[in-house]
Amino acid sequence: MISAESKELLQDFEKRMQFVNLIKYWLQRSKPTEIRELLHNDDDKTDNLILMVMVFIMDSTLRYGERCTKKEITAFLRELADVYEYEPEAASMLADYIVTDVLQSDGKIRLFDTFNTDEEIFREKSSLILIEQQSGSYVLTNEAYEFLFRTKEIDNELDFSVNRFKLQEFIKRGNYSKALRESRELVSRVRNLKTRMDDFMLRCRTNISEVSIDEYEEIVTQVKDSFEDENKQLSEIRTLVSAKLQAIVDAEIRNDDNISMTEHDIREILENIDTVISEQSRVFNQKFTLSDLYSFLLDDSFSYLQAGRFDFEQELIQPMQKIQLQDSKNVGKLFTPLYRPIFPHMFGLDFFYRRQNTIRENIRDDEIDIVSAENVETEADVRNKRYVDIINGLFSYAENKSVFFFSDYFNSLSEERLQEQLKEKSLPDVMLKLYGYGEIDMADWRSKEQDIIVPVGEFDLSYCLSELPKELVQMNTILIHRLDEEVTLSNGADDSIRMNNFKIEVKR
Amino acid sequence: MKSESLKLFAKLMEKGYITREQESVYYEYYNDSEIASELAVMEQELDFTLYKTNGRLYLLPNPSNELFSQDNNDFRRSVGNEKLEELYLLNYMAVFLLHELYGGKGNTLQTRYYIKESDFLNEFTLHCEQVRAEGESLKNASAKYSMDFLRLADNWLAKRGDESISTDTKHGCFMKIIRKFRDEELLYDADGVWKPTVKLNDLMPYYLSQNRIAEIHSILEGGKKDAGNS
Repeated sequence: MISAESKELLQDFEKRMQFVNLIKYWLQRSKPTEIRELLHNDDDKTDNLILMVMVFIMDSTLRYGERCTKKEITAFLRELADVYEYEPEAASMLADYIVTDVLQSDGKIRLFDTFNTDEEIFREKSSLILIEQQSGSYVLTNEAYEFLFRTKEIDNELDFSVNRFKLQEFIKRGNYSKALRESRELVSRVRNLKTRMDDFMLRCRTNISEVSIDEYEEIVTQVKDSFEDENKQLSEIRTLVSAKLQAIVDAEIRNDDNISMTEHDIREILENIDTVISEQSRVFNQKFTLSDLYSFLLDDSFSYLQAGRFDFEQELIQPMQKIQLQDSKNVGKLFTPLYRPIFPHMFGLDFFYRRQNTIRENIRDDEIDIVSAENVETEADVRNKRYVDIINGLFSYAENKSVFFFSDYFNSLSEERLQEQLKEKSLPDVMLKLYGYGEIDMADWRSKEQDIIVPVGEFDLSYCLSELPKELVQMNTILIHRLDEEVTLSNGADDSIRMNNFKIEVKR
Repeated sequence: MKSESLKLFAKLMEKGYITREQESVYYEYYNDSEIASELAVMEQELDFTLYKTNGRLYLLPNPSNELFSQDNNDFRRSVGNEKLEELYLLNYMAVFLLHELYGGKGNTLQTRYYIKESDFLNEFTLHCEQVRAEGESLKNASAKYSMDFLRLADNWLAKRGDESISTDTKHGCFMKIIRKFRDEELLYDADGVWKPTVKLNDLMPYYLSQNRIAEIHSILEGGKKDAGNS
């Protein structure tokens, strides 16, 4: 059961779907090989061609006294031969295909499941585009006309006048319920136009290069044409309606239901006309703002738009695929205009606040060359990696265990790995730091948003954890207890480290 | 020199641009012809480009600017001290990402209004697979791809598919680029998809402008020359 609100929203949904069905009607068409070859297998272009034929049929049949037979359609298709690159002789075959196979669906009735809001069920609705009259002339069905109108004509300036005209005629004839419908339609049209203008202005502001001059002219002309004379006409209708209302009020001798209904309708019509008049003048004024904005923005970005663009793929992507790794150092510069300017590092505050151990690193004698900033792997990288390896080792060892000793862990390591982890006393340092935490709340760590900063060589548990595979960090808490017992870690041939053993408890 | 010129320059250096709405006073400065011409001198001498568009004034360092432009080392710092191979991959991914968003050939530059992570990962994986396949089948693949680029494709295809944020995973690499782009105000998170900011939309026509072609060539060829000398 659909709520009343949704029901109102979906009122006449069938009508909307009808258009979709109609489009499907000719998009889901048979595609014989010879036609596909003729139109170079290009579905998009074929869609264009079919719609062109529909427009041609519409136009021909709307003209008084003109007929539209296969002969006329063939002549039209012959004219288009160059555009679609087929032989002009093939026009007749194409006309047969489009008229018979596509627009009449080979004579088969096409049914589409369509939702009926009143009954709240899907019903099969038939669609039809073209009818062949006995005389051999083709006419479009009403739904096809309506569809084609909606694709262009309805949006045109004429439409507003037509609604206004219909409103006027209905009022003259005293058909107030229909007049009311027209007046509501007018309100929605003027609001629609206002929305389009707002949307257009927003798009201008966001990215003027995406907005074409044609589009601008179309919208400005539409506003101009629809509204310039309308204001006067609408005021006249308003006078007419007011007079009718007055007459009804005067004649309201009998308190007839019918009359009060009419009076109600007329009052709403009056209100709607007032809304249209006021919104109309606002839209009209907005047009001037729009013109200013558009010309200003165009002026601003004109020079860059004028220069033309280079081929992204050819000039950037492909050359990047050819460079050698060593040369790739330069490619960071490709982004220079997009990245914000930064003052040189020698002036940057971070220089003063940078970890002071940099100086000590310089005099330390180890195999890592840190002189060159270009060096691929700095000491910080080496340390980060070592810390990650230690945490990775501990967590992998902890997998499937609830309690273990630190000594168990390092005894399980290969000699080579242990020696690496003992470099710069990293392993004992890490253990002491973990002990310093006492308890590591993994659930809490997982729940927080991880915005990890890569450390510059110091131990950072959060960073190390973020580098581990997910399955290793699924426990709840880890508790670390110091034991009185001492252990010895042998660092190379003649060096050893004595430290307390630890008990590590893993809670899942 | 007018003090306003320096004030405007300093303001522009803060985040790289000013807007008519938010920094209206400074924006007005630029309408003063004397200030504008002094800025033009700075533009020449300090090696940057002023780019005015849609109510914003941008200060864009030229790639040859050694004073305040970002280079690969800055990129390296911001994506977390990765190795050169990873940096090459990340830079290439960044260009590929821009191409996904602005690969239009005709009148329309923008080809996507937003990009989803899954879409990008699929597209990029597909691209790398294609490169790999061509690398194996084409006789003269080396004319099209460098060995290091073929390794880049392999490197990507070997990345894990889990959600860890390390560069061992596809997600991790993507997020490094995204974070950089987010910090540079080029993309923003719009309910789980990544949308170009006004800044990126503004700058792409400039970025791809024919006027910059020589600049682009010199960056891409500059590396080769250096290699030849060493």
